[in-house]
Amino acid sequence: MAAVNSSATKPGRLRPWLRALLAGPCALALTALIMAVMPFWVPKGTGGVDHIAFPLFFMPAIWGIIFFYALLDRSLARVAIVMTVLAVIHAIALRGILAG
Amino acid sequence: MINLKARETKTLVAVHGWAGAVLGLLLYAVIVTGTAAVFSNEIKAWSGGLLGMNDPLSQPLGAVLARLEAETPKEFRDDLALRATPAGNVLAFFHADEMVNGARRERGILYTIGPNGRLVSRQEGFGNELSASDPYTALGRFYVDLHVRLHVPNPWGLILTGILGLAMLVAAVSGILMHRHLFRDIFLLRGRDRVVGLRDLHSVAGTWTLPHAFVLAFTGAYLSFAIAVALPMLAKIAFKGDVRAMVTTLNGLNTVDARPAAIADIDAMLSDARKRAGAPLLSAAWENRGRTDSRITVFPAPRSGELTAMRLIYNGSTGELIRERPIVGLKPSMGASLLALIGPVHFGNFAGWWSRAVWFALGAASAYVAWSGLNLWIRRRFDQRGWRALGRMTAWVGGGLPFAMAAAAVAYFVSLPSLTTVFWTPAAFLIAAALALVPALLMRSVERLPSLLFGATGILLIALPLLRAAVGGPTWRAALSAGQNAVPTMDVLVALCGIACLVSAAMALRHREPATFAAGPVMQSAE
Repeated sequence: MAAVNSSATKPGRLRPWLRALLAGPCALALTALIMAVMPFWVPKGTGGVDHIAFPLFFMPAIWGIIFFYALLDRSLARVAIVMTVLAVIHAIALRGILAG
Repeated sequence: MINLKARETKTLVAVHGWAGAVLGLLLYAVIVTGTAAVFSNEIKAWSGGLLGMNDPLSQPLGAVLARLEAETPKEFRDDLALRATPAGNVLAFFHADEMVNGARRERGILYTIGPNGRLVSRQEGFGNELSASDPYTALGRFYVDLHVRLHVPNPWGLILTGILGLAMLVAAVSGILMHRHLFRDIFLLRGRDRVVGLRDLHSVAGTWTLPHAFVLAFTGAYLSFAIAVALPMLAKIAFKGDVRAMVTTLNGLNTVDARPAAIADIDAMLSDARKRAGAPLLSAAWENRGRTDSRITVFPAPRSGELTAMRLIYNGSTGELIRERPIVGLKPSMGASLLALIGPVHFGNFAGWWSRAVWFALGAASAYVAWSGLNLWIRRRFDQRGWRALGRMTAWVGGGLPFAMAAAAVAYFVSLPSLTTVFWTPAAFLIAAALALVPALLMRSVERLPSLLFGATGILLIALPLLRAAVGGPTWRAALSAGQNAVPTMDVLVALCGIACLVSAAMALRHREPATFAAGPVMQSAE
């Protein structure tokens, strides 16, 4: 309990807000980025539409996983790094796709 | 038993509570209206008073459509949409596409065809506006629009309800994770102590409805976001803005051939489609009539025992079947199967009346979970002025929303003879909501307000079947002989809901517990 209280003191005052930022707007933006790139790596399937249907169908699940990860991982730095790496990879891929 | 460490559990409790506190009232509104919208088609058939027939697209339509086409201006004869209404009539919309402010819109003449080819009405205009001005379906559409976008203009309404879907997902998942004794809590109801009792009821109702709430939240978020944001975004990125490529992939676009051609026999095609589908037909879209590239897409209901149905594509000049196709794509696929599941699972229409009755009951329980959760949150903070204000809002919305919905139905029936339902249905809803706000603001203790409003809702609901009959609605015998069992069923269902509201209100008012919102000195100073 003492450890919890000490983590909530001065240096950690911004932590809830940072976590809210990562789990809120950042999770939504990352979900949109991942969805935007999915049509280019998800197989088209027998009907030729799986690459469109899967991102649409799994959108709430993708968001949910990112949201709960950002919420429950104790290390805020790790959350920020993982989300940033994912975002950068997808942003580069999207840029390449749109340019090509 | 789910074992999370104390810190994670605390975080989940906070997220569960704050998600509910911030969005709980809107979520409650979406759940309550969604519960009513489970029966939207039945409400339209019950309230409209236009008795048609079972499977109206099975009647011979070729002759009547040819006659109507002759009366239709030439510029609207390109395309024809046919749809079976919930009341058992046929809507025939001869139309052409027009570009209005950069957006494609359908404009033409809408005919309503009753049994035996009898013409019920004729209107000219844009398709979406004609649909929105239909006085006979105003009540059902009002509930559905309230549920789908809370009457906020597109795309913001859909985005808002999409966010509410995600909030419900968060509440459901965090509710599962933070329960230390999930299965034991399913049956845990302790005593009559107000806060403990309310918490137990919230937990029990929440636990029993968790799978349903999770599925509805997931599919609801999909339905809102996919239409408003995701599909346009994917079309732009995956198809680089090439709309034709997207339509080809998703629907299969035929090659353009504008040479004149014969018009196929619609009755023969619909009859063939019904045999192949083994189920009633819901609608049909006929493009480029009188051209070589003419196509008819027929949308049947799912076969008995199945969740989805294949669409049938016919050549509009020869009448031959070109192909059957799923909801998206030209061939069955995993993606199409997943997307096809969304509708039946969200609307609960996969097993007729039974599945809808179960969805209705679970929806009502979910509404109770949202409302009781908000009450729990507020009762722990009732000594703080801001939370007391939210307490009043919760009492107002909790009891006022069903009351306003029932008042909208009363106004609908009263205004049906003058065909002014499109105005009076939402107007009465707003007036009733404003009336309910007065005691919410003025009552010293608002604990009893929801029960009083539930009692008033019960009286209005019980009056609805009588009112429907008084304004000339069809009798049970006439409805049953026309194959419209929605009329007697909805009469009974509405009356039962009214009795349930009255009984629950009476029970709550009789059980006079010490009021947690009672106006003590703190309350008085706040007011």
